[in-house]
Amino acid sequence: MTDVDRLFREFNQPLVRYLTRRLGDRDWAEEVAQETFLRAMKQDTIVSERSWLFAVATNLVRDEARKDIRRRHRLELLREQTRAEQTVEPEPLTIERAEEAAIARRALDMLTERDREALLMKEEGLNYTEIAAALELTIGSVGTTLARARRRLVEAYESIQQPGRVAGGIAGGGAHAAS
Amino acid sequence: MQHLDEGTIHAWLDGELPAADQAQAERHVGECAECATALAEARGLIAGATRIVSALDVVPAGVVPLPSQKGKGAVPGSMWRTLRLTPSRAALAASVLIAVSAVFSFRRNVSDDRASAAPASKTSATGASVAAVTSEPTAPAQASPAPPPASARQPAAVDASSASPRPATPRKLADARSALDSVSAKAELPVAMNAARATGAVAGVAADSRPEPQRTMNDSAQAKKTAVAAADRVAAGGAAVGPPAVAAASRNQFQRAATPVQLQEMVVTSAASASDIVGCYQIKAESGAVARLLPDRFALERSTVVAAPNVVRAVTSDWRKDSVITGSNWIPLANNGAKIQSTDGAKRQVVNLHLTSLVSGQATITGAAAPLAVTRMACLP
Repeated sequence: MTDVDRLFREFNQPLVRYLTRRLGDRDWAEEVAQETFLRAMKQDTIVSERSWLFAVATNLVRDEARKDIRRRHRLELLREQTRAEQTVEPEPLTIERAEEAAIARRALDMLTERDREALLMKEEGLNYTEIAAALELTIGSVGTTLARARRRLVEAYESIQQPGRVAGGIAGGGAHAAS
Repeated sequence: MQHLDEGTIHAWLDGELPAADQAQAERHVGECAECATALAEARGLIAGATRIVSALDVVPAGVVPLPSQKGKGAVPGSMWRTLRLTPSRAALAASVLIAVSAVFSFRRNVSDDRASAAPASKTSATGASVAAVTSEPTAPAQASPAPPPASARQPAAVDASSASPRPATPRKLADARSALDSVSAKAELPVAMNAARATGAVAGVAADSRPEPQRTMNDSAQAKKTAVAAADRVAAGGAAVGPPAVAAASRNQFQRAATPVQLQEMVVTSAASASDIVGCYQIKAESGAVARLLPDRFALERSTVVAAPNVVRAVTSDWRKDSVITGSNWIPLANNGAKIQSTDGAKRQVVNLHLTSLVSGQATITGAAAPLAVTRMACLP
């Protein structure tokens, strides 16, 4: 088994899941993941494999987003059309779960890019060192980033779920600041 | 010492704090109520964020995305799609169902008629089930060259599915027709209802070939298998929680489900409820509250053993899952709820837990006047 085979077997699944959560589109996520592994093949040595792969994938997503939004929209439409003809069996969802997913997506979109990526990487099992390397942060700031991301995500989610509630806390940060 | 900042608390809960800092933080939290509150809040945020992120998954974690597969080695798709059901085929399937139902109803009616004419000893063998009817000893009557007795003539005449290759005489056909007429009056409504239900299900399946993830159909056989397994789990939990009738009813609910759509919905509902409620909880203790068999802190965990009840674990003061609480188990309820039963000797107590938000909810305890507040927490591994 080559190194790339091993990398793919070990990291493709979490990488696709991370990208799917990040992008909201599994086909797109798979494309980005493939591109990431292609780049890994061209790399002579990779010191920290997981953080390298997540960093490259994250950068690819950013580049793609910057490059051509219109092209992406067009691709998404084409994907929707082809999806109707495919025999892929997605996870059966109840309406409640679909609604929950939509609210979660909206809440996640309300975070800053850095908060969102740090949170999704943490949820994918990356440790603080790996997150710091992938996002070019200091290790000491990862905890603060994650704390802010989590708080804002939960508050955003609850504000969307219960529109009557004031969402002022979303941007408010921690309630218990260091003295 | 300074209060702990939020980043440090999260780093601590994520297991990223150096041992020395962790010990210092622990000491501080032991003395500082404000930081203890912040710690509890951070646990709630971690649990809430994890749950929200998990809600994004169209596929559950750990599933490799399926590529478009049509060639060899393809994962078997939905039976309904494989059959390429169209409205006309669905109608045909419904007609077949009606015919089969009519035959079964007819047989039952014939059996009832015969039972009324037969001696009392024989009536016990004619149950409502089709199996009981078909296992009736009609073979001797069919095999006998002599004219069968009156009580056996009618069933032998109308048993069209019998292996005996006797030609149908006009008399027998007339008997069968009249019997069918008499049956249809009784069976029309339920058969029509069954057919309508079946047609609806099939039509629903045909409509589901459009890309609506909410209505995606899995293979019906697989769905049923999963449903029965889920029923087993629920029944196993229910058996310990409530009277046996509850568990039996729960199982029957799944087994009676006639259509894949119904089965599918049950599976999804059951699975979603179970996965949503798993976690660590703290019941806010109140003075004068009913004495609880369940501790203030506990964790709901799904059983890893098939058909075994879901387990309740104790949780340590530093929010680590501890040993299983003997005599306690739980079953998921609809809308983010769980029914937790605890027994201690002759004492039995039921706590109905219901989450009203991502991190909080209520616990209604048997015998208690008012529900208690519950907070959902993140447990350390």
